[in-house]
Amino acid sequence: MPPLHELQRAFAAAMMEGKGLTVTTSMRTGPARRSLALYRRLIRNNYVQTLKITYPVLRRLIGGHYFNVFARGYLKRYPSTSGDLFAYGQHFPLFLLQLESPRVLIELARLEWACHELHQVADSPLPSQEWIQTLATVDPSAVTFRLNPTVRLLRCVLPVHRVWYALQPEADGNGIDGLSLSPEEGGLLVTRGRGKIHVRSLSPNQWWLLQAVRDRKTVAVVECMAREFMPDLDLAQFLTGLSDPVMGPVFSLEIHP
Amino acid sequence: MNAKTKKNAVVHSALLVALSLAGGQAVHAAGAKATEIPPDWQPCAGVAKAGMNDCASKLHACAGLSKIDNEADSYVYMPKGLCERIAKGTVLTKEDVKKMMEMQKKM
Amino acid sequence: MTLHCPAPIPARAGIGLRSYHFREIMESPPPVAWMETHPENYFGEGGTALRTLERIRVDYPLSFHGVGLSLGSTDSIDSTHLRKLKEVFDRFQPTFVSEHLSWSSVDGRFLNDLLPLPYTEESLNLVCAKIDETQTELQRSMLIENVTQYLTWPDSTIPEAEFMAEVVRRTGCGILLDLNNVYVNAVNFHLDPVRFLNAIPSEAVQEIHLAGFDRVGRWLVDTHGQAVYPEVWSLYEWALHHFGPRPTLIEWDTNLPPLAELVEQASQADAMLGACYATPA
Repeated sequence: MPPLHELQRAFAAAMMEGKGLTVTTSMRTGPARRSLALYRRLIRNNYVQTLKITYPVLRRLIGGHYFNVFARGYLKRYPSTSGDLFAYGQHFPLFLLQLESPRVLIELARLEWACHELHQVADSPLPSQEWIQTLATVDPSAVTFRLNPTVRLLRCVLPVHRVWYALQPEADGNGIDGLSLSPEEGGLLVTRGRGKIHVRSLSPNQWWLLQAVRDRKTVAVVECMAREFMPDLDLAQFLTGLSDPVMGPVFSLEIHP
Repeated sequence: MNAKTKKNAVVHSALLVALSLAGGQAVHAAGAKATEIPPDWQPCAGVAKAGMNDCASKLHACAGLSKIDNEADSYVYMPKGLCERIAKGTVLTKEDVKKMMEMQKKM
Repeated sequence: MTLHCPAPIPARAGIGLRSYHFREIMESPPPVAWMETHPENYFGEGGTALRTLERIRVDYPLSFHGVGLSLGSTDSIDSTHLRKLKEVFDRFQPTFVSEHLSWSSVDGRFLNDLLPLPYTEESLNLVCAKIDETQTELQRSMLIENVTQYLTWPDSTIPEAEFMAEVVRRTGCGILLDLNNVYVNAVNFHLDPVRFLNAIPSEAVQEIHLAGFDRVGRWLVDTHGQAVYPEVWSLYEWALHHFGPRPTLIEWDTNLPPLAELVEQASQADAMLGACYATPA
């Protein structure tokens, strides 16, 4: 009788590789093979289902057939390494890249993974009124920006958020019919506000400013950047727009004595 | 106050306004995590993502699939075929579909 | 909201908590005694799922039914998984915590399902060691659930019920008795469900699961996607008579019905539990 480790290894191989479905010599019977085949189909199906939940827009875009093919290919190349299924599918954008997939699919997958992650990140801090008043008395070079946990910045070439919105279940209209995508500079801002995910595009200047926020630059430095290099940008309006509680506040501030 | 300082003051007060918007009605010590649930919080936003591990618990325990056979999967949102769809915009082109067919062969 | 201790769960019916029902539950809290959910779904640091569970926990005692610990695997316990379990247990103070008598990983590769364990001295020693480690780390005892198997290992030397009884004896863990799984295994492998139940130590049974199944070709498959079948209700009646009343969960995982239907199943179980108390000793 083989050791347990060997049995489990052989079973796992039978599930994932499927070659030689017999696990041990004593299991070359018809019923044993049928059992293994059942487990195999059900396990693989679980992973395809999981990816469907994680990448629903991509699936809607390319259709069920191609999605299933790519999902099964992904499972072979990047099998699960966690007991928490929320983590499964992280490498799907990379997988698509490695297969020289159309850029729109790669970037849409990156967007969907960011949206997926955001559902479980920590809540963003909500500053109190007292603290905000304190801020008014402090030197701007003693205050640094912080990018909130409910934010993701994506350097995408294509405005794939338009596809994302067009293919949401509750979207009106004709889906992607007539939708044109051409490369844009800048990037995408993904945020979670009150549980919902929102995606906005950023101009190159806005992208650069948000990089400064992510890099924890001081208020003084960010103001300088805007003043010196972005005369057309209304910084006040931009920052106010980034603090919309519905879409989720993008930044918080820290005072350093 | 020179022009530079004045502009700093303007931006700074804009920050205060911005943070007030973000803060809503929460009143907590500086740096503390908010534990109050905002009054218009939507309890069901993103619920599909709240049950990923349902897929692990029992065979088929997710996405409402009751059949084992996944081959004849129905399209969730595609009233028209893929090929018709690519004629009406540039999201997916014929080149893209060709690429997808190439990808298929690699698996 | 800081919880300091679990709420007691009476020998009444509860329902499985699925995100599908979040809205209904928030809008009209169902008349059930408790709820059960997978702790792995609450491993994040924030977001809707956690918020909703916090709200629900205010009104309902909770049971956490784990699916990812892989107790039967020859791999060692995943310390990150265990740590996250501890955090979520501390936060929500569940009354019961449970896992499965199965495995789902080997050599660090996960299959995220409940895979069949051969019942041997080797697997017995392994499972007991891992349960000991888990109970020690979590500083509480846990329940182990019997699973459906679609394969009988020819190398098994110990019958399933006796295996579970020995695990209980050695580790002091409890049993989550899934009567649907007992029934499905009995039909698939021509076994006697009563023989199985007779070999289960009565005091160890702290919770019962009831669920439905599907027929797929030659197999009954434990989909938990239907109402509880009459045969399983009969088995439940027998079990209540044999073991006594126990907290009973209506477990419905796929093909989800409206909340009212779950509640209706729960009230059926409640009626049968009530009858236990009505019957003179």
